Amino acid sequence: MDPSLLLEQTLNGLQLGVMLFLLAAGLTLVFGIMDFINLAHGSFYMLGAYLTAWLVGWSEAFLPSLAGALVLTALVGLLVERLVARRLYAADHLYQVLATFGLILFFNELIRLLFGPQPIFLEPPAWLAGQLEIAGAPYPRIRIAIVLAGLMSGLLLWWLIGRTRLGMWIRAGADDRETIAALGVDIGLVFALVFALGAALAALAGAMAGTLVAVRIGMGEEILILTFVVIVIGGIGSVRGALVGALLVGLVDTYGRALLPDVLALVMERSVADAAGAAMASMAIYLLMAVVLALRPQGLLPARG
Amino acid sequence: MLRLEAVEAGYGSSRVLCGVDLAIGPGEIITLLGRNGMGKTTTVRTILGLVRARAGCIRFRGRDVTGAPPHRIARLGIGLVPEGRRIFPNLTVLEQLIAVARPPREGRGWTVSRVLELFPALAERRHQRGRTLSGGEQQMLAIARALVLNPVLLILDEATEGLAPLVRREIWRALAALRREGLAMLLIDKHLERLLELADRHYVIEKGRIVWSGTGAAFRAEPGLRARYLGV
Ligand SMILES: Nc1ncnc2c1ncn2[C@@H]1O[C@H](COP(=O)(O)OP(=O)(O)OP(=O)(O)O)[C@@H](O)[C@H]1O
Ligand SMILES: [Mg+2]
Repeated sequence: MDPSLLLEQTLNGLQLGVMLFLLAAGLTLVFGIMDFINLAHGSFYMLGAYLTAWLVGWSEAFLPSLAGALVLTALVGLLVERLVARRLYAADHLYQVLATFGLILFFNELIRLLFGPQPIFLEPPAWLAGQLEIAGAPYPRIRIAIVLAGLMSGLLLWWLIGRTRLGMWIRAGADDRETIAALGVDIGLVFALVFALGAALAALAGAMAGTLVAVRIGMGEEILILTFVVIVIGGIGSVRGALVGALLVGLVDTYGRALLPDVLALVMERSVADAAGAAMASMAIYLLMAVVLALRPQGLLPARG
Repeated sequence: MLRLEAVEAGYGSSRVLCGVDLAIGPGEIITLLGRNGMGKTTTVRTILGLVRARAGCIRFRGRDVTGAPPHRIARLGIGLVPEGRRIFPNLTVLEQLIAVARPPREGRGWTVSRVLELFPALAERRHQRGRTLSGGEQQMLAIARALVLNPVLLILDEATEGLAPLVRREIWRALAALRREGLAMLLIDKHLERLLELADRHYVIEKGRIVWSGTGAAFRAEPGLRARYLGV
């Protein structure tokens, strides 16, 4: 296989991986610590993309718009935590699923009212347009920027959880929320901050996706399924697991789509190989999940081990 | 400083506390004695707001804290050493202390480095995670963790349970040192003789009611008490 194509597919896989990581980090923390299943996590992803596009159209400055969209989505996250999630932490998962499914419908309808049913577009900034030569092959700058921004967010999160006092409260709250409260820490506030942080990270992933593909209603639901696969593979509640799982899923999915048709074409007709390859590629990550679950039911890097 | 008046509490439909009256003055050391399942731990949990008081009133440092959330009550100045130690398994010794430390109200307070001086065994393990500690080390950590809150009242629920005699002696030594600092304490423990040496007053609880209270001398003077309420 052509090495420059392999490099390109690897970078594509990494780029999908870091976006999945940004989504998975918040979802896995909320699920692992508060035991809360938030189906509407994908709505934060969609909101991030729409708000960034809207602010860019208005101010024409990309980074301030992105920052504004993250802050606004974090505030929406706080509101959702206050009004919906907080009431359901102790409830059965079924109620959480039902309530947050309702939130998906609500946010989709809200976006339809505000921005109309048509997809909108988010232009990447001029300084990220064009290509960059990597090992002799051209590669879009925006995708490289996405990989770098994703990895930097991962580092920041690792520092926040591993090295700061807030991170200690988060980990202590995951172990034993009653005891940390009895020792003077307002764990309700910590949970709200985690929820808002997760929303902001999802919004960042959404804005990244928006620079590559159209910003549209329902974009969050498609990627949410992949995100759940990521946190199950990585181990629920584990941010490190989310990173490993996200990169794994991103690479397997991308390699599968790029390589399987060619591999199959060696043993069957081209048109058949293309169709079969595409179908098998979309199953590859579920296969990966099944294998991981069979070997390590608790995920690759479980939070409590 | 702390006063419970006719406090009732329970779990679900069962009532565990049926009107508990209890008071602790500044710097005073009291004990809560009683057989298994009489409501000692429930009393402690109700003081901290972990169990809701269904009736009665809890006042701490002049404020009505009945129904207040646990973190507020703790911040007013209660350091809890919970039954079963409840160490955070995934945080290091140092992290558990840093996470909950609060500045002293006045003068020289408990800092992370000072509690590590009180328990040298912990200092050696400062970078180890909670789950790797021995039972005795976990108990010392639970006490150290409560001290860095700089409380005015320390509550110890079965702090010597399940420990080797040598480690137990270490804990009693630390409590005697805290007594000399003038820290008020509420002690629950199975070692009656040690409690009688250390504490100013005692409360005996039976089936959720205080059935006797008085000084150590008064307790010793009433030989029937032990057999009737403590089964010893
Ligand atoms: N979480 C709970 N849910 C239901 N009942 C409980 C719970 N915790 C305690 N109880 C019940 O409440 C009563 C008092 O328990 P509590 O733990 O306060 O007793 P205790 O005096 O601390 O006993 P011990 O010496 O065994 O620690 C017991 O009958 C116990 O079974
Ligand atoms: Mg008890």
